[in-house]
Amino acid sequence: MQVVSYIKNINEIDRFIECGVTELIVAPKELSRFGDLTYESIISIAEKLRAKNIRPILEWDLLMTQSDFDKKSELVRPLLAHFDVVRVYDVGACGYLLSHSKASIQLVLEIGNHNQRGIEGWIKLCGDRLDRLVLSLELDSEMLKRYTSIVDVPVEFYGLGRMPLSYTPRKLVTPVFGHLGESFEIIASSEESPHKGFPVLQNTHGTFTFYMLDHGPIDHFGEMSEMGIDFLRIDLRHLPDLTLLKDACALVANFSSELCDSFKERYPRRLFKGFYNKNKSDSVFKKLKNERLSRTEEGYLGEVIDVAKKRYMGLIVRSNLIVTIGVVLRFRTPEGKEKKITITHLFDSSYNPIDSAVQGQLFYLPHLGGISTRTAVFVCDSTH
Amino acid sequence: MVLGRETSIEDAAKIKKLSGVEVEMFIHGAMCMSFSGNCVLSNYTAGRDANRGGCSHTCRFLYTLESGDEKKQAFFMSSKDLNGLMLLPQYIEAGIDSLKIEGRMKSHLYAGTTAMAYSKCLDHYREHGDLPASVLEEFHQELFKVTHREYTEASLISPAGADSIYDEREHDEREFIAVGNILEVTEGQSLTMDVRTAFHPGDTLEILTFSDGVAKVKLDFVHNVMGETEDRTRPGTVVKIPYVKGVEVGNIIRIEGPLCK
Repeated sequence: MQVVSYIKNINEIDRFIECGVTELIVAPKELSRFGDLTYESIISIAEKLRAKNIRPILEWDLLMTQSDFDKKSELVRPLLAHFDVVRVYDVGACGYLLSHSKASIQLVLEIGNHNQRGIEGWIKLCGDRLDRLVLSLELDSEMLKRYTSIVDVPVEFYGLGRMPLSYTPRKLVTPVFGHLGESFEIIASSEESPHKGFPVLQNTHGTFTFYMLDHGPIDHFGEMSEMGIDFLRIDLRHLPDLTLLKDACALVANFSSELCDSFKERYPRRLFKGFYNKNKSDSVFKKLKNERLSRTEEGYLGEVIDVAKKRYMGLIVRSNLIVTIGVVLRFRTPEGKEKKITITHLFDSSYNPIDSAVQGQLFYLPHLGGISTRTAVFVCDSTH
Repeated sequence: MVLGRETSIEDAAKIKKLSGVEVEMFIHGAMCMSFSGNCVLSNYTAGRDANRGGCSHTCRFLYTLESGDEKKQAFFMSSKDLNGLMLLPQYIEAGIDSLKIEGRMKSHLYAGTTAMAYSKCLDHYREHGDLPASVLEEFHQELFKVTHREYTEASLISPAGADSIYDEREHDEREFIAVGNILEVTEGQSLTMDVRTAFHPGDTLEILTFSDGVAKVKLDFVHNVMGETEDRTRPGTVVKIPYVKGVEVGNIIRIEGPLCK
């Protein structure tokens, strides 16, 4: 497992070489979300990296509307002479490179793309131009293990750095503080959330929020190597310097618990593991649905929508079943209580006797104790 | 292709022309401030997957913002709601094939009112070949009768700017409240409806018809299923009200003003 990182300054190159880094991401201000390198500097950095046998990767990870895309693709075109590999997030950027260049592609699949078919689709589309897949942070270790075993291109995962949470093209801070510069950061805290201190970055591309803790499942670097992750991305651009770079790289190359503990102590920000252990962000959905009101159960007829206690109750037929005298109905209240009756009398909405009721029809029965509105009704022995 | 909410009408037309594929665009409803699908605030702060229907709306909270020593409070991440009705002529001219109106997690009244307003405008265009400002304005007013935040045209013409931020606490601005749905129509006699919100005999209800716009009905009587007069209806019951021509089963009924007590 190797480290891939970001270079901010041409003078940092030797530092990365010392740490054994073999490739570096070059992030231009015009094309990269958090990039701040000028057009001129990226070309000189790319040339120097090549001279030092480090592979430069051009980052073009903006999301673009059509008009943005038209402008940005013009900016990318001349840069392609200086880079063999381009890292993209927007599918349009990927398509552009496939048809307008010979560059290898590193495709970022960090949001969405959480299933095997989707990932295989991208591999097929890019063919031999695909240099690497950057897998989603929302994949837990079980899924990472699964995908690394089936994907036959190198894969990368985010090992250490800031945790981006949202990306909008809108300038959200300027309306509050006025013009604070082309690129600046503030801190946001809400009384309504236990989470406080989100860093918020506004730059020429829009506004980005970050989690208050840094993403760093560093206890699992050894495990990640074993499962077949080829590259770990270490992004320390938000720290004052690269003091911890060497130790981070050592953790990736030769993981040990002692090294890991020592690293955590010296890392200036709190770390969290994200969803590495388990992603349970869909578990709440089960609780939000009242199973007792399910309309998919066998024999579902409809529901009670009108009740006058001890007098009558009105039911609406929502399925294609037909209700007739003699049919046994089963009632399930929103609280889960169940009752059964055999229909002996059936009435229409003016309480005149009828023989049957069909889909969409409102019908009435004498009230059955304990039955309230929103009670689900099922036919025990149905007649289609 | 269903395009993202960041797309302008002009860009959508260009995409359609370049791709030769039908395009659908969002035209009305609540907006996420982020690029579509590119917000995981809820995933990490509430453990609820925002991209699979679990968004906890963290962006609608009031935040204290700190820039150096300066502190300010703002709902800085909250977006106004999209309303593109007055731009319908541009949608038509651009050849947009399908319009998307937010209905998920919204009330029947909201979905019915917004869908009716846009459909009626499109009907007018199909029939007359134009969409005068007077027609647009008439149906634009309908969109203020349902719960909504302040409206914005967001990025439909140019990229959404500072005026697209809803820097206010969420509050209910409804002028109308849903009171029920038509269950049965007895020609020339009565309409049977379920009651979602209480009302009284003498009130005037508005019924959103499928073909005749909004029909008003003054409640000369309100009966229960036994034909007995109801002095005040109860939610969770069914009543009969006076017949109105053009009303059909499934029509939504609303009432103006505050909830009946």
